[in-house]
Amino acid sequence: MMEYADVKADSKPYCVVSIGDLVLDVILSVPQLPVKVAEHQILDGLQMEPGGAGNFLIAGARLGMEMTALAPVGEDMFSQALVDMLVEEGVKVDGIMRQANGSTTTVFVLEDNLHRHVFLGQYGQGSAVEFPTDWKKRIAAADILQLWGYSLHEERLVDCVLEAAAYARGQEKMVVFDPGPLLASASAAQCKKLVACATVLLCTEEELVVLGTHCGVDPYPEAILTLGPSIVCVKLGQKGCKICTPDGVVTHAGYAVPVVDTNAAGDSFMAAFEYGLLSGWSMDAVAAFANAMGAAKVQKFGSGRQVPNLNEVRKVLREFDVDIAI
Amino acid sequence: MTLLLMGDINVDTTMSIDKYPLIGEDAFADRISTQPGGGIVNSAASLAGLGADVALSASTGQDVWAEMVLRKLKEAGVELSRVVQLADATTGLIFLPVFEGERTMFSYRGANELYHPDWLNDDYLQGVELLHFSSYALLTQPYRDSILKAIVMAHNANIPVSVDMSFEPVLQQTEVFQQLLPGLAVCILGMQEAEQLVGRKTADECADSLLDAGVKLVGIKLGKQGALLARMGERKMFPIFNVDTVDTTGAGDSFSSGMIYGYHYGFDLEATGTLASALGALATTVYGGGLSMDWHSKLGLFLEERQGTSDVQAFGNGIEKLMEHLKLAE
Repeated sequence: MMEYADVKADSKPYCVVSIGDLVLDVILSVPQLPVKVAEHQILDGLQMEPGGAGNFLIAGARLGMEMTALAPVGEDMFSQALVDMLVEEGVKVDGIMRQANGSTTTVFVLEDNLHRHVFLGQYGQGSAVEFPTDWKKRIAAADILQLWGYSLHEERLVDCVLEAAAYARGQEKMVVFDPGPLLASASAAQCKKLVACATVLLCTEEELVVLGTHCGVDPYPEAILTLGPSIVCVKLGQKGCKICTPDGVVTHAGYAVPVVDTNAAGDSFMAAFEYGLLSGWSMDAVAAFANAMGAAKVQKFGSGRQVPNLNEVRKVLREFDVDIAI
Repeated sequence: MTLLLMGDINVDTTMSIDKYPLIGEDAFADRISTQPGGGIVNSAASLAGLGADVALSASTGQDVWAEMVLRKLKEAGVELSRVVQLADATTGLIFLPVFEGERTMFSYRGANELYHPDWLNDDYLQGVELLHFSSYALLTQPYRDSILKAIVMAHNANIPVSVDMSFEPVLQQTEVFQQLLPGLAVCILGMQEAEQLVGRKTADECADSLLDAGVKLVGIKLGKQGALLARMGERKMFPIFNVDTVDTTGAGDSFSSGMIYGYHYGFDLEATGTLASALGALATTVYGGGLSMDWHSKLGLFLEERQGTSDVQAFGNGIEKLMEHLKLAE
């Protein structure tokens, strides 16, 4: 059995604040794709789930962390449905800003029985957000500020995110940046600013290439480490992950589990990764635990409230003889 | 003095998209809007707007969608004591992507399907003078049994029964609808549904068959050609009113309201057809089903504007009779 670490002993939960990227996913089970244009089609099912940062927030809450969402949404029913679901999952939502003239990013996922998809949606819009004092206080009290590359596309929020990132770094907080798949179309200058503020960067191999281009460095973790972060974790899907720090490289091969759906696996991984970091575990233990969370996720369909619960992570750890008591 | 409507309560989500995406692709809308929806909700809007006492019988979830739609219905004066809110179900939701003016409809009936016959107690039809139902309610159980039970209760209490038929339910439950025909006071349907039900090819032939089966008042909607209204020994074609259309949502349901209202208040065929056509046309001049529209004033103005136009000839004395009725109702 591989022995790593125990869970946090004291009672105060780790406090993670996530800014931006709040999305409502509405999954419509359609009888067939392509859709029959101009016809009435009765859906086989409908499911609403928090998407984007919602996956991460729920995964973190299920690990026992205090997860706080900071973001603007519309004063509409989509935001109400989204907030209600986050509240049920124990995510703190009192930092969510309801904009009367705004809208909520909503994605309608049309899915057929072969799990093929078509996406319809709207980007959330609204007045520009000036970094609220309340958000500043929440960040000051947090252990981690979580940033998303997607926020560079959130017009009303991007300036606020850049300011919040700089503030958190100035407060010597752990700042985690996930560049995400839309980074290529984001502003390179803004991306560079977020990387400079980040203490931890988690990305895929594809995102690493884009980061290198945007930041004008070679697409290697070692090069990113020279820009600000002290930890760069490259997520390798079924092949596990590679963690680079100034002290060296740690790799973890992941767990050979049957893959059903990779949606939200990266977000689940990240929540567990942060739990491990805050617990002060070794990078080996952090990687082992984060990969277990990802492995638990890929074995089930869906996202949002379908991210793994503690028992599902424990099951993976047991199956692979990994001794992390959580 | 209540008109009781049974059917689906929905929230319609409409989004204008820039393309229909292929599999794996996406399309974005500038804005998504949500409105109360469902045939009986739209019909209730115009009936209540004309001053009729309207009640709905349906089931919803206990969620943000139900909160919105029930609040707006209440504000419109619709009576909701027969609406059951279920904790473990989602309110019916309809998604309407619109591309180049063409609407594709995806419906999730959710809580609508769960209306249970046990909820129809002895007082269910207390004060009810007409029972109207939407054919979608017969698609699935247990709602189908609830509707059939309500119809039997209505027959036993000599309460007239009205139905608004759509093709999918008629296709799936043809025999059930055929068996209901003899007991129907009002039957509103399109040509496709009429052909499926009675196997005839023209609107006149279909109307004959429906009247022979026992229906008292038939309304066959014929799209841009208008509608044929018929009762035993009498029939008339009604053209459509030309209006500036902004959204066709609820047009058919408001047409049905005119039929129900005309039957209930004893209008002749001319006044009934004129009212149905006018309400159908008015519904297209606003976005959504018209829950916030002042139907009474709008209808009065609409009819006034039609006086002295070629519409007077097309609708016979219908316009004049309706205006008289509206004045009396004030």
